[in-house]
Amino acid sequence: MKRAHLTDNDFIQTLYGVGEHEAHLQSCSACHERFLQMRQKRSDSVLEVEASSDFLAAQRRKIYQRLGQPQSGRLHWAPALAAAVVLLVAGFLAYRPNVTAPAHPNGNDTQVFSEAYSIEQNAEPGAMAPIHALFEHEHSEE
Amino acid sequence: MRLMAGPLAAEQTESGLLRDFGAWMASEQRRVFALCQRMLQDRDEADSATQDAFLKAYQALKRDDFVEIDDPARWLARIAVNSCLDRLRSRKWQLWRRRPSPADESVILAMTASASPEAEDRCFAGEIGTRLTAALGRLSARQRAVFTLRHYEDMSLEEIGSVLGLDVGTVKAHMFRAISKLRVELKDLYEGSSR
Repeated sequence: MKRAHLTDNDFIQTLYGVGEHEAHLQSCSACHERFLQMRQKRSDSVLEVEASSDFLAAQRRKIYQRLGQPQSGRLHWAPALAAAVVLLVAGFLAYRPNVTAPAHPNGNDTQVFSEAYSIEQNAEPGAMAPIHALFEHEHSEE
Repeated sequence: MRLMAGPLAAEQTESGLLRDFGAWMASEQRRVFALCQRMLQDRDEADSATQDAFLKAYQALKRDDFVEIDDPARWLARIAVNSCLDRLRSRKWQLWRRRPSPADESVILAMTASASPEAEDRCFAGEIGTRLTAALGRLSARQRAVFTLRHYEDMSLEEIGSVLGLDVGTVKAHMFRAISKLRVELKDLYEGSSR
């Protein structure tokens, strides 16, 4: 049986090194020819990166300049750390716990104390009041 | 060419090393800048990455424990690619970075839509190359590095693995994903190759 030619995907995979079609390319002259054309196209598609002599000379000057400076590459995180510390300090200073608000909005300490005292002294729960009212109503009808 | 520096440090003065380094830098500079430009697609960033690469190379050469290397060009490419990868990774946090505007993208697409009888010549390949370069933005940092080193530098997968410090299987996996993402552009580039 005659082996079919490679597909576009096969060619592309082979061109980029992930295809397993080397054996076929060696035995099929048509596919080998096309593979060479595709490789040529790849190199044609590679655009020259523009870099004038002046640009490169300026770049070399910058490199020489940096070669003469102490390296600060390991301190790139320093500005971020400084900003974080400033934010933390600012947040800490801005935070004011509301300690001056009255514990009881409608009265002073004496009033609160007397209310608590009366509740404590009353042996009967407050929920009994409606039940007492029922009986008083019956007595009044009699 | 073999690169020797550290071992020479005892005999060679700083100025001598700097002079040799300068000559070597001048011979490699254009290639390194082109590699950085292709990976980063930003001229200013490529400029900075190129400077970083040569700076790191010089610092490594100056070290006393520097070992002689057989392939300085590949060694330098490795430093440059790693500088570019650092920059690509930090881009994730730079939310203000401008993406290509829809107008720019439509211009690029219009260039390929104008495929004419001369579609097989270098001009067309160059146009597709422009579009392919724009499409590299869809790749992750590693995929972009792997694809760039193969497409533009024509490196083997083993060489790419050596440059990036990855095994060949991992390089293959990245390459496979990269060409899957660029399927449309690559098909447009190569479909003109008649059987």
